[in-house]
Amino acid sequence: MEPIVVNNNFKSEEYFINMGPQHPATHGVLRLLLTIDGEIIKKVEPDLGYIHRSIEKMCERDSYQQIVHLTDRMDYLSSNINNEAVCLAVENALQLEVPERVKVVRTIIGELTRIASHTLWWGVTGMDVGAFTTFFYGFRDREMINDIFEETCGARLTMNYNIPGGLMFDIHPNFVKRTKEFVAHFKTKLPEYDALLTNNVIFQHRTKGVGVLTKEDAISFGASGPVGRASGYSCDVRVHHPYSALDKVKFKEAIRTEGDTFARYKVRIQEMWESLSIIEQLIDNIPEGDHKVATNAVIKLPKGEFYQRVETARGELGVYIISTGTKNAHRVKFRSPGFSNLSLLNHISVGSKIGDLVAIMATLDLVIPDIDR
Amino acid sequence: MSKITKISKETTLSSTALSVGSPPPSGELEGASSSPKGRLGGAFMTNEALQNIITTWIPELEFSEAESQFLNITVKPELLHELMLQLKNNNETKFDYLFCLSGVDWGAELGVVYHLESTEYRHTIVVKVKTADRENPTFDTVCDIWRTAEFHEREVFDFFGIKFTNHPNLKRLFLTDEWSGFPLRKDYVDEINMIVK
Repeated sequence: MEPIVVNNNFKSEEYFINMGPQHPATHGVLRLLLTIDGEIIKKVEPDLGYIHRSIEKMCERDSYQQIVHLTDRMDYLSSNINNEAVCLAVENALQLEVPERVKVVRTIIGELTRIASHTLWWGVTGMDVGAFTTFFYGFRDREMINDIFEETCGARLTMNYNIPGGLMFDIHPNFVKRTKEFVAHFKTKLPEYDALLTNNVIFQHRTKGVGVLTKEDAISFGASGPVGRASGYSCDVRVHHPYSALDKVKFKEAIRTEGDTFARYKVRIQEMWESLSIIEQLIDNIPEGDHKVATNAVIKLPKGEFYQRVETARGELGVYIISTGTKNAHRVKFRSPGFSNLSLLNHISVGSKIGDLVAIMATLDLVIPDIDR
Repeated sequence: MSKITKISKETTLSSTALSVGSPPPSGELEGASSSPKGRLGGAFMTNEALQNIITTWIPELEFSEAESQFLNITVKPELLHELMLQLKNNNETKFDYLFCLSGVDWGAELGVVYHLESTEYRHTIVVKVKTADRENPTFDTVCDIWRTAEFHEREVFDFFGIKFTNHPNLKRLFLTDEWSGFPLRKDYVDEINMIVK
Protein backbone atom coordinates (compact mmCIF):
# COMPACT_ATOMS: atom_id res chain seq x y z
CA MET A 1 0.00 0.00 0.00
CA GLU A 2 1.22 3.51 -0.86
CA PRO A 3 1.90 5.76 2.15
CA ILE A 4 -0.48 8.72 2.33
CA VAL A 5 1.34 12.05 2.12
CA VAL A 6 -0.54 14.43 4.40
CA ASN A 7 1.40 17.61 3.92
CA ASN A 8 4.48 18.08 1.80
CA ASN A 9 5.60 21.09 3.81
CA PHE A 10 6.77 18.90 6.69
CA LYS A 11 10.18 17.35 6.77
CA SER A 12 10.15 13.66 7.55
CA GLU A 13 11.12 14.03 11.23
CA GLU A 14 8.85 16.96 12.00
CA TYR A 15 5.27 16.51 13.06
CA PHE A 16 2.55 18.60 14.53
CA ILE A 17 0.41 18.25 17.63
CA ASN A 18 -2.40 20.19 19.22
CA MET A 19 -1.95 21.77 22.61
CA GLY A 20 -5.38 22.75 23.79
CA PRO A 21 -8.04 24.02 23.47
CA GLN A 22 -8.65 22.03 26.68
CA HIS A 23 -5.07 21.79 27.89
CA PRO A 24 -4.79 22.78 31.58
CA ALA A 25 -1.63 24.82 31.00
CA THR A 26 -3.31 27.08 28.45
CA HIS A 27 -5.56 28.42 31.24
CA GLY A 28 -8.57 28.68 29.02
CA VAL A 29 -9.67 27.69 25.57
CA LEU A 30 -6.53 28.52 23.63
CA ARG A 31 -5.41 26.09 20.96
CA LEU A 32 -1.77 26.02 19.98
CA LEU A 33 -0.64 24.20 16.89
CA LEU A 34 2.87 23.02 17.65
CA THR A 35 5.27 21.93 14.95
CA ILE A 36 7.87 19.87 16.73
CA ASP A 37 10.95 17.90 15.98
CA GLY A 38 11.26 15.32 18.73
CA GLU A 39 10.61 17.53 21.71
CA ILE A 40 12.08 20.72 20.22
CA ILE A 41 9.55 23.34 19.19
CA LYS A 42 9.88 24.56 15.62
CA LYS A 43 6.77 26.69 15.44
CA VAL A 44 3.87 27.72 17.64
CA GLU A 45 0.74 28.94 15.95
CA PRO A 46 -2.12 30.07 18.18
CA ASP A 47 -5.63 29.31 16.97
CA LEU A 48 -8.05 31.77 18.51
CA GLY A 49 -11.74 32.43 18.59
CA TYR A 50 -13.12 29.64 20.75
CA ILE A 51 -14.80 32.07 23.11
CA HIS A 52 -14.93 35.24 21.04
CA ARG A 53 -18.05 37.16 22.06
CA SER A 54 -17.66 40.16 19.80
CA ILE A 55 -17.62 42.63 22.67
CA GLU A 56 -16.55 45.42 20.32
CA LYS A 57 -19.65 44.91 18.18
CA MET A 58 -21.88 44.79 21.25
CA CYS A 59 -20.35 48.09 22.39
CA GLU A 60 -21.71 49.72 19.24
CA ARG A 61 -25.20 48.62 20.26
CA ASP A 62 -25.16 49.39 23.99
CA SER A 63 -25.15 52.61 25.98
CA TYR A 64 -21.99 53.83 27.66
CA GLN A 65 -23.19 52.66 31.07
CA GLN A 66 -23.81 49.18 29.68
CA ILE A 67 -20.41 48.95 28.01
CA VAL A 68 -18.73 49.05 31.43
CA HIS A 69 -20.31 45.73 32.34
CA LEU A 70 -19.03 44.04 29.21
CA THR A 71 -15.42 44.92 30.00
CA ASP A 72 -15.51 42.74 33.13
CA ARG A 73 -15.67 39.80 30.82
CA MET A 74 -12.46 40.55 28.97
CA ASP A 75 -9.64 40.15 31.46
CA TYR A 76 -11.79 38.91 34.31
CA LEU A 77 -8.87 39.01 36.75
CA SER A 78 -8.46 42.76 36.22
CA SER A 79 -12.17 43.46 35.99
CA ASN A 80 -12.08 46.56 38.16
CA ILE A 81 -9.28 48.13 36.15
CA ASN A 82 -11.10 47.39 32.88
CA ASN A 83 -14.23 49.08 34.24
CA GLU A 84 -12.14 52.03 35.33
CA ALA A 85 -10.65 52.40 31.84
CA VAL A 86 -14.04 52.79 30.18
CA CYS A 87 -15.30 55.11 32.92
CA LEU A 88 -12.21 57.30 32.60
CA ALA A 89 -12.63 57.47 28.83
CA VAL A 90 -16.26 58.51 29.16
CA GLU A 91 -15.50 61.01 31.94
CA ASN A 92 -12.67 62.58 29.94
CA ALA A 93 -14.94 62.88 26.93
CA LEU A 94 -17.61 64.59 29.03
CA GLN A 95 -14.92 66.64 30.84
CA LEU A 96 -16.38 65.42 34.08
CA GLU A 97 -14.27 65.89 37.20
CA VAL A 98 -14.91 63.06 39.65
CA PRO A 99 -14.51 63.62 43.43
CA GLU A 100 -11.13 62.96 45.03
CA ARG A 101 -12.68 60.18 47.09
CA VAL A 102 -13.58 58.31 43.92
CA LYS A 103 -10.06 58.62 42.53
CA VAL A 104 -8.46 57.28 45.71
CA VAL A 105 -10.91 54.41 46.13
CA ARG A 106 -10.50 53.45 42.46
CA THR A 107 -6.74 53.33 42.86
CA ILE A 108 -6.87 51.27 46.05
CA ILE A 109 -9.30 48.79 44.52
CA GLY A 110 -7.22 48.70 41.34
CA GLU A 111 -4.10 47.76 43.30
CA LEU A 112 -6.02 45.16 45.32
CA THR A 113 -7.19 43.74 42.01
CA ARG A 114 -3.59 43.62 40.79
CA ILE A 115 -2.49 41.73 43.91
CA ALA A 116 -5.44 39.34 43.59
CA SER A 117 -4.54 38.68 39.98
CA HIS A 118 -0.86 38.20 40.75
CA THR A 119 -1.52 35.82 43.65
CA LEU A 120 -3.65 33.68 41.36
CA TRP A 121 -0.96 33.87 38.68
CA TRP A 122 1.67 32.85 41.25
CA GLY A 123 -0.41 29.88 42.33
CA VAL A 124 -0.97 28.53 38.85
CA THR A 125 2.58 29.25 37.72
CA GLY A 126 3.87 27.05 40.50
CA MET A 127 1.38 24.40 39.54
CA ASP A 128 2.32 24.58 35.86
CA VAL A 129 5.94 23.78 36.68
CA GLY A 130 5.04 21.06 39.15
CA ALA A 131 4.74 22.71 42.58
CA PHE A 132 1.21 22.05 43.71
CA THR A 133 1.31 23.81 47.11
CA THR A 134 1.59 27.27 45.59
CA PHE A 135 -1.93 26.95 44.25
CA PHE A 136 -3.36 26.76 47.77
CA TYR A 137 -1.13 29.50 49.16
CA GLY A 138 -2.10 31.84 46.33
CA PHE A 139 -5.80 31.16 46.61
CA ARG A 140 -5.71 31.52 50.40
CA ASP A 141 -4.45 35.09 50.15
CA ARG A 142 -6.59 35.99 47.16
CA GLU A 143 -9.65 34.90 49.13
CA MET A 144 -9.11 37.77 51.60
CA ILE A 145 -9.22 40.30 48.77
CA ASN A 146 -12.29 38.68 47.26
CA ASP A 147 -13.99 38.98 50.65
CA ILE A 148 -13.20 42.70 50.76
CA PHE A 149 -14.65 43.09 47.27
CA GLU A 150 -17.71 41.07 48.12
CA GLU A 151 -18.46 43.30 51.09
CA THR A 152 -18.01 46.55 49.18
CA CYS A 153 -19.05 45.68 45.62
CA GLY A 154 -21.34 42.72 46.13
CA ALA A 155 -19.34 40.53 43.80
CA ARG A 156 -16.10 38.65 44.00
CA LEU A 157 -14.89 38.46 40.42
CA THR A 158 -16.84 40.69 38.02
CA MET A 159 -17.21 43.68 40.29
CA ASN A 160 -19.00 46.30 38.15
CA TYR A 161 -18.19 48.81 40.86
CA ASN A 162 -17.23 51.73 38.62
CA ILE A 163 -19.77 53.76 36.74
CA PRO A 164 -19.24 56.82 34.56
CA GLY A 165 -19.13 59.60 37.15
CA GLY A 166 -17.81 57.65 40.10
CA LEU A 167 -18.65 54.51 42.04
CA MET A 168 -21.92 52.65 42.14
CA PHE A 169 -22.12 53.03 45.92
CA ASP A 170 -19.88 54.15 48.73
CA ILE A 171 -17.29 51.84 50.29
CA HIS A 172 -18.40 49.52 53.06
CA PRO A 173 -17.67 50.77 56.63
CA ASN A 174 -15.34 47.78 57.10
CA PHE A 175 -13.38 48.44 53.91
CA VAL A 176 -10.49 50.37 55.47
CA LYS A 177 -10.12 48.03 58.42
CA ARG A 178 -10.17 44.88 56.34
CA THR A 179 -7.83 46.25 53.72
CA LYS A 180 -5.32 47.14 56.44
CA GLU A 181 -5.69 43.65 57.89
CA PHE A 182 -4.97 42.20 54.48
CA VAL A 183 -1.90 44.37 53.93
CA ALA A 184 -0.49 43.34 57.31
CA HIS A 185 -1.28 39.69 56.58
CA PHE A 186 0.13 39.69 53.08
CA LYS A 187 3.39 41.30 54.18
CA THR A 188 4.09 38.24 56.27
CA LYS A 189 3.05 35.90 53.45
CA LEU A 190 5.01 37.33 50.52
CA PRO A 191 8.38 36.25 51.99
CA GLU A 192 6.89 32.75 52.20
CA TYR A 193 6.25 32.90 48.47
CA ASP A 194 9.95 33.49 47.94
CA ALA A 195 10.91 30.74 50.37
CA LEU A 196 8.57 28.25 48.75
CA LEU A 197 9.04 28.91 45.05
CA THR A 198 11.39 31.75 44.10
CA ASN A 199 14.39 30.27 45.88
CA ASN A 200 13.56 26.72 44.86
CA VAL A 201 16.43 25.30 42.84
CA ILE A 202 14.22 23.20 40.57
CA PHE A 203 12.02 26.18 39.81
CA GLN A 204 15.02 28.33 38.98
CA HIS A 205 16.37 25.67 36.63
CA ARG A 206 13.01 25.53 34.89
CA THR A 207 12.81 29.30 34.39
CA LYS A 208 16.26 30.93 34.16
CA GLY A 209 17.38 31.51 30.59
CA VAL A 210 14.11 30.14 29.21
CA GLY A 211 12.08 32.15 26.71
CA VAL A 212 14.37 35.16 26.49
CA LEU A 213 12.83 38.31 25.03
CA THR A 214 15.12 41.20 24.19
CA LYS A 215 14.14 44.81 24.81
CA GLU A 216 13.99 45.66 21.09
CA ASP A 217 11.71 42.70 20.40
CA ALA A 218 9.54 43.52 23.41
CA ILE A 219 8.87 47.01 22.05
CA SER A 220 8.42 45.79 18.49
CA PHE A 221 5.92 43.13 19.55
CA GLY A 222 4.04 45.64 21.67
CA ALA A 223 4.72 43.74 24.89
CA SER A 224 3.45 45.54 27.95
CA GLY A 225 3.02 44.96 31.64
CA PRO A 226 5.39 42.59 33.46
CA VAL A 227 6.35 40.94 30.14
CA GLY A 228 7.76 44.20 28.80
CA ARG A 229 9.27 45.31 32.09
CA ALA A 230 11.15 42.02 32.52
CA SER A 231 12.97 42.87 29.29
CA GLY A 232 14.20 46.16 30.68
CA TYR A 233 11.54 48.21 28.95
CA SER A 234 9.91 50.90 31.07
CA CYS A 235 6.29 50.57 29.98
CA ASP A 236 4.19 51.08 33.11
CA VAL A 237 1.20 53.24 32.17
CA ARG A 238 0.87 54.16 35.84
CA VAL A 239 4.26 55.89 35.61
CA HIS A 240 4.09 57.43 32.15
CA HIS A 241 0.41 58.35 31.93
CA PRO A 242 -0.89 58.36 35.53
CA TYR A 243 -4.64 58.27 36.05
CA SER A 244 -6.99 58.44 39.08
CA ALA A 245 -4.89 58.95 42.25
CA LEU A 246 -1.68 57.42 40.87
CA ASP A 247 -0.03 60.82 40.51
CA LYS A 248 -0.22 61.23 44.30
CA VAL A 249 1.65 58.08 45.23
CA LYS A 250 5.30 57.11 45.03
CA PHE A 251 6.29 53.71 43.81
CA LYS A 252 9.13 52.12 41.94
CA GLU A 253 8.47 50.57 38.57
CA ALA A 254 9.64 46.95 38.77
CA ILE A 255 12.15 46.48 35.98
CA ARG A 256 14.59 43.70 35.24
CA THR A 257 16.86 43.30 32.27
CA GLU A 258 17.25 39.53 31.77
CA GLY A 259 14.04 39.11 29.76
CA ASP A 260 13.67 35.44 30.65
CA THR A 261 10.87 33.56 32.36
CA PHE A 262 12.44 34.04 35.79
CA ALA A 263 12.67 37.81 35.25
CA ARG A 264 8.97 37.98 34.39
CA TYR A 265 8.29 36.01 37.56
CA LYS A 266 10.40 38.34 39.71
CA VAL A 267 8.79 41.46 38.24
CA ARG A 268 5.36 40.29 39.34
CA ILE A 269 6.58 39.46 42.85
CA GLN A 270 8.11 42.94 43.10
CA GLU A 271 4.89 44.48 41.76
CA MET A 272 2.94 42.96 44.62
CA TRP A 273 5.26 44.75 47.07
CA GLU A 274 4.77 48.01 45.18
CA SER A 275 0.99 47.58 45.13
CA LEU A 276 1.02 47.05 48.91
CA SER A 277 3.02 50.26 49.25
CA ILE A 278 0.53 52.20 47.07
CA ILE A 279 -2.39 50.92 49.15
CA GLU A 280 -0.61 51.89 52.39
CA GLN A 281 -0.02 55.41 51.13
CA LEU A 282 -3.70 55.91 50.35
CA ILE A 283 -5.71 53.82 52.78
CA ASP A 284 -5.47 56.23 55.73
CA ASN A 285 -6.21 59.29 53.64
CA ILE A 286 -9.38 58.49 51.74
CA PRO A 287 -10.93 61.96 51.36
CA GLU A 288 -14.45 62.54 52.58
CA GLY A 289 -17.06 63.43 49.99
CA ASP A 290 -19.47 62.05 47.49
CA HIS A 291 -18.88 58.73 45.80
CA LYS A 292 -20.16 59.96 42.45
CA VAL A 293 -21.22 62.96 40.46
CA ALA A 294 -24.56 62.97 38.73
CA THR A 295 -24.59 62.24 35.02
CA ASN A 296 -27.48 62.32 32.60
CA ALA A 297 -29.51 59.13 32.50
CA VAL A 298 -28.64 58.94 28.81
CA ILE A 299 -24.98 59.70 28.25
CA LYS A 300 -24.12 61.23 24.91
CA LEU A 301 -20.46 61.79 24.21
CA PRO A 302 -19.47 64.78 22.09
CA LYS A 303 -18.36 64.07 18.54
CA GLY A 304 -14.75 62.99 18.45
CA GLU A 305 -12.23 60.33 19.36
CA PHE A 306 -11.20 59.41 22.87
CA TYR A 307 -8.40 57.17 23.99
CA GLN A 308 -7.70 55.99 27.53
CA ARG A 309 -4.71 53.93 28.61
CA VAL A 310 -4.57 52.04 31.90
CA GLU A 311 -2.26 49.43 33.39
CA THR A 312 -4.10 46.20 34.15
CA ALA A 313 -2.43 43.28 35.90
CA ARG A 314 -1.38 42.03 32.46
CA GLY A 315 -0.23 45.26 30.86
CA GLU A 316 -1.51 48.15 28.87
CA LEU A 317 -5.22 48.24 28.14
CA GLY A 318 -6.35 50.85 25.66
CA VAL A 319 -9.95 51.94 25.17
CA TYR A 320 -10.51 53.73 21.88
CA ILE A 321 -13.95 55.27 21.44
CA ILE A 322 -15.10 56.99 18.26
CA SER A 323 -18.25 58.97 18.91
CA THR A 324 -20.52 60.70 16.43
CA GLY A 325 -22.38 62.54 19.19
CA THR A 326 -25.12 59.98 19.80
CA LYS A 327 -25.86 57.75 22.78
CA ASN A 328 -24.02 54.83 21.18
CA ALA A 329 -20.40 54.67 20.20
CA HIS A 330 -19.63 54.49 16.50
CA ARG A 331 -16.68 52.22 17.20
CA VAL A 332 -15.07 50.90 20.36
CA LYS A 333 -11.72 49.19 20.20
CA PHE A 334 -10.06 47.48 23.13
CA ARG A 335 -6.33 47.15 22.85
CA SER A 336 -5.87 44.24 25.18
CA PRO A 337 -2.48 43.42 26.69
CA GLY A 338 -2.90 39.64 26.33
CA PHE A 339 -3.36 39.86 22.57
CA SER A 340 -0.04 41.57 21.98
CA ASN A 341 1.72 39.41 24.56
CA LEU A 342 0.44 36.26 22.86
CA SER A 343 1.79 37.40 19.50
CA LEU A 344 5.36 37.04 20.74
CA LEU A 345 4.89 33.47 22.03
CA ASN A 346 6.17 31.90 18.81
CA HIS A 347 9.19 34.21 18.77
CA ILE A 348 10.43 33.32 22.25
CA SER A 349 9.57 29.63 22.37
CA VAL A 350 11.09 28.36 19.12
CA GLY A 351 14.00 26.08 19.96
CA SER A 352 12.88 25.26 23.47
CA LYS A 353 11.12 22.12 24.71
CA ILE A 354 7.42 21.56 25.29
CA GLY A 355 7.96 21.69 29.04
CA ASP A 356 9.60 25.09 28.64
CA LEU A 357 6.65 26.29 26.60
CA VAL A 358 4.43 25.61 29.62
CA ALA A 359 6.74 27.68 31.81
CA ILE A 360 6.88 30.48 29.23
CA MET A 361 3.11 30.60 28.91
CA ALA A 362 2.74 30.67 32.68
CA THR A 363 4.76 33.87 32.93
CA LEU A 364 3.14 35.49 29.91
CA ASP A 365 0.06 35.24 32.16
CA LEU A 366 -2.45 34.92 29.35
CA VAL A 367 -6.12 35.29 30.09
CA ILE A 368 -7.96 33.96 27.06
CA PRO A 369 -11.15 36.10 27.26
CA ASP A 370 -8.82 39.09 27.12
CA ILE A 371 -7.49 37.84 23.77
CA ASP A 372 -10.83 36.58 22.42
CA ARG A 373 -12.71 39.77 23.16
CA MET B 1 -3.34 15.00 65.39
CA SER B 2 0.18 15.31 66.73
CA LYS B 3 1.42 15.44 63.16
CA ILE B 4 -0.70 18.49 62.40
CA THR B 5 0.60 20.33 65.44
CA LYS B 6 4.14 19.59 64.39
CA ILE B 7 3.62 21.00 60.91
CA SER B 8 2.08 24.19 62.19
CA LYS B 9 5.01 24.68 64.57
CA GLU B 10 7.44 24.37 61.72
CA THR B 11 5.51 26.90 59.71
CA THR B 12 5.66 29.41 62.55
CA LEU B 13 9.35 28.85 62.97
CA SER B 14 10.17 29.27 59.31
CA SER B 15 8.03 32.38 58.96
CA THR B 16 9.75 34.10 61.88
CA ALA B 17 13.12 33.21 60.42
CA LEU B 18 12.23 35.11 57.28
CA SER B 19 12.46 38.86 57.16
CA VAL B 20 8.80 39.54 57.80
CA GLY B 21 7.21 42.53 56.19
CA SER B 22 10.18 43.99 54.38
CA PRO B 23 10.54 44.16 50.63
CA PRO B 24 13.57 42.53 48.99
CA PRO B 25 16.71 44.67 48.99
CA SER B 26 16.47 47.38 46.43
CA GLY B 27 19.87 46.63 44.95
CA GLU B 28 18.42 43.48 43.47
CA LEU B 29 16.25 45.39 41.07
CA GLU B 30 17.07 48.11 38.69
CA GLY B 31 14.90 51.09 39.39
CA ALA B 32 13.26 53.04 36.64
CA SER B 33 13.46 56.76 36.40
CA SER B 34 9.93 58.08 36.63
CA SER B 35 10.60 60.85 34.14
CA PRO B 36 12.20 59.43 31.04
CA LYS B 37 14.39 61.94 29.27
CA GLY B 38 15.46 61.87 25.70
CA ARG B 39 19.00 60.87 24.86
CA LEU B 40 21.11 60.94 21.74
CA GLY B 41 20.08 64.43 20.78
CA GLY B 42 16.36 63.79 20.47
CA ALA B 43 13.73 64.93 22.94
CA PHE B 44 10.01 65.12 23.56
CA MET B 45 8.33 67.06 20.77
CA THR B 46 5.12 69.03 20.89
CA ASN B 47 2.43 68.41 18.31
CA GLU B 48 3.46 71.58 16.50
CA ALA B 49 7.11 70.52 16.30
CA LEU B 50 6.08 67.06 15.13
CA GLN B 51 3.90 68.54 12.41
CA ASN B 52 6.72 70.81 11.24
CA ILE B 53 9.23 68.03 10.90
CA ILE B 54 6.83 65.50 9.31
CA THR B 55 5.72 68.02 6.67
CA THR B 56 9.29 68.28 5.47
CA TRP B 57 9.32 64.55 4.61
CA ILE B 58 6.00 64.30 2.80
CA PRO B 59 4.19 67.55 2.01
CA GLU B 60 0.79 66.13 1.05
CA LEU B 61 -0.42 65.07 4.52
CA GLU B 62 -3.49 66.24 6.38
CA PHE B 63 -2.95 67.22 10.02
CA SER B 64 -5.68 67.66 12.55
CA GLU B 65 -5.93 68.12 16.31
CA ALA B 66 -9.69 68.65 16.39
CA GLU B 67 -11.85 66.21 18.36
CA SER B 68 -8.87 64.19 19.57
CA GLN B 69 -6.23 64.32 22.27
CA PHE B 70 -3.52 63.36 19.78
CA LEU B 71 -2.09 64.86 16.63
CA ASN B 72 -3.80 63.06 13.76
CA ILE B 73 -2.23 62.53 10.35
CA THR B 74 -4.33 61.33 7.44
CA VAL B 75 -2.20 59.77 4.75
CA LYS B 76 -2.97 58.42 1.31
CA PRO B 77 -2.64 54.62 1.07
CA GLU B 78 0.25 54.78 -1.41
CA LEU B 79 2.33 56.94 0.98
CA LEU B 80 1.52 54.96 4.16
CA HIS B 81 4.53 52.69 4.23
CA GLU B 82 6.99 55.46 3.43
CA LEU B 83 5.60 57.66 6.21
CA MET B 84 5.58 54.83 8.75
CA LEU B 85 9.20 53.92 8.00
CA GLN B 86 10.23 57.52 8.55
CA LEU B 87 8.25 57.82 11.79
CA LYS B 88 9.95 54.74 13.16
CA ASN B 89 13.48 55.29 11.94
CA ASN B 90 13.96 59.04 12.10
CA ASN B 91 16.17 59.93 15.06
CA GLU B 92 14.01 62.86 16.11
CA THR B 93 10.65 61.04 16.09
CA LYS B 94 11.53 57.38 16.84
CA PHE B 95 7.98 56.06 17.11
CA ASP B 96 9.02 52.55 18.03
CA TYR B 97 5.89 51.44 19.90
CA LEU B 98 2.68 50.77 17.98
CA PHE B 99 0.32 50.63 20.94
CA CYS B 100 -2.94 50.29 19.07
CA LEU B 101 -4.00 49.32 15.57
CA SER B 102 -7.73 49.51 14.87
CA GLY B 103 -9.88 48.96 11.85
CA VAL B 104 -12.67 51.50 11.47
CA ASP B 105 -15.73 51.66 9.23
CA TRP B 106 -16.62 55.33 8.77
CA GLY B 107 -19.62 54.49 6.63
CA ALA B 108 -18.47 55.59 3.19
CA GLU B 109 -14.85 54.78 3.91
CA LEU B 110 -12.96 51.93 5.48
CA GLY B 111 -9.67 52.52 7.15
CA VAL B 112 -7.06 51.73 9.74
CA VAL B 113 -5.96 53.89 12.68
CA TYR B 114 -2.44 53.50 14.07
CA HIS B 115 -1.59 54.84 17.53
CA LEU B 116 2.15 55.36 17.92
CA GLU B 117 4.38 56.29 20.81
CA SER B 118 8.10 56.80 21.18
CA THR B 119 9.36 54.84 24.17
CA GLU B 120 12.38 57.11 24.37
CA TYR B 121 10.84 60.58 23.96
CA ARG B 122 7.26 59.69 24.99
CA HIS B 123 5.51 61.69 22.32
CA THR B 124 2.45 60.17 20.67
CA ILE B 125 0.85 60.46 17.27
CA VAL B 126 -2.07 58.94 15.39
CA VAL B 127 -1.91 57.96 11.73
CA LYS B 128 -5.06 57.28 9.74
CA VAL B 129 -5.40 55.76 6.34
CA LYS B 130 -8.70 55.52 4.50
CA THR B 131 -10.10 54.14 1.29
CA ALA B 132 -13.48 54.43 -0.37
CA ASP B 133 -13.04 51.04 -2.03
CA ARG B 134 -15.29 48.74 -0.01
CA GLU B 135 -15.01 45.82 -2.40
CA ASN B 136 -11.29 45.34 -2.22
CA PRO B 137 -9.73 47.65 0.40
CA THR B 138 -5.97 47.18 0.46
CA PHE B 139 -3.15 48.85 2.35
CA ASP B 140 0.52 48.09 2.76
CA THR B 141 1.41 46.07 5.82
CA VAL B 142 3.47 47.62 8.60
CA CYS B 143 4.52 44.33 10.20
CA ASP B 144 8.00 44.72 8.81
CA ILE B 145 8.24 47.92 10.90
CA TRP B 146 6.42 46.83 14.09
CA ARG B 147 6.02 43.08 14.54
CA THR B 148 2.95 43.51 16.73
CA ALA B 149 1.10 44.57 13.59
CA GLU B 150 1.14 40.98 12.34
CA PHE B 151 -1.62 39.87 14.72
CA HIS B 152 -3.44 43.18 14.77
CA GLU B 153 -3.66 43.30 10.97
CA ARG B 154 -5.01 39.77 10.92
CA GLU B 155 -7.71 40.88 13.33
CA VAL B 156 -8.58 43.83 11.08
CA PHE B 157 -8.66 41.52 8.05
CA ASP B 158 -10.92 39.14 9.95
CA PHE B 159 -13.50 41.73 11.02
CA PHE B 160 -13.27 44.40 8.30
CA GLY B 161 -12.02 42.52 5.27
CA ILE B 162 -9.15 44.96 4.78
CA LYS B 163 -6.23 43.32 3.02
CA PHE B 164 -2.60 44.08 3.76
CA THR B 165 -0.09 43.57 0.98
CA ASN B 166 3.17 41.81 1.92
CA HIS B 167 1.67 40.45 5.14
CA PRO B 168 3.39 37.09 5.81
CA ASN B 169 0.35 35.19 7.04
CA LEU B 170 -2.87 37.00 6.21
CA LYS B 171 -5.78 34.76 7.12
CA ARG B 172 -8.71 34.79 9.51
CA LEU B 173 -7.65 34.90 13.16
CA PHE B 174 -10.80 34.51 15.25
CA LEU B 175 -13.49 33.42 12.82
CA THR B 176 -13.50 30.24 10.80
CA ASP B 177 -12.33 30.26 7.20
CA GLU B 178 -15.85 29.48 5.99
CA TRP B 179 -17.33 32.60 7.61
CA SER B 180 -18.82 34.93 5.02
CA GLY B 181 -18.79 38.68 5.52
CA PHE B 182 -16.95 40.91 7.94
CA PRO B 183 -18.90 41.42 11.19
CA LEU B 184 -17.54 44.78 12.32
CA ARG B 185 -18.48 46.51 9.07
CA LYS B 186 -21.53 48.72 9.44
CA ASP B 187 -23.29 47.06 6.51
CA TYR B 188 -22.82 43.53 7.84
CA VAL B 189 -26.09 41.61 7.75
CA ASP B 190 -26.45 39.52 10.85
CA GLU B 191 -28.84 36.91 9.54
CA ILE B 192 -28.83 34.43 12.36
CA ASN B 193 -28.84 36.98 15.19
CA MET B 194 -25.37 36.09 16.35
CA ILE B 195 -24.56 39.54 17.65
CA VAL B 196 -27.63 41.75 17.80
CA LYS B 197 -30.41 40.15 19.74
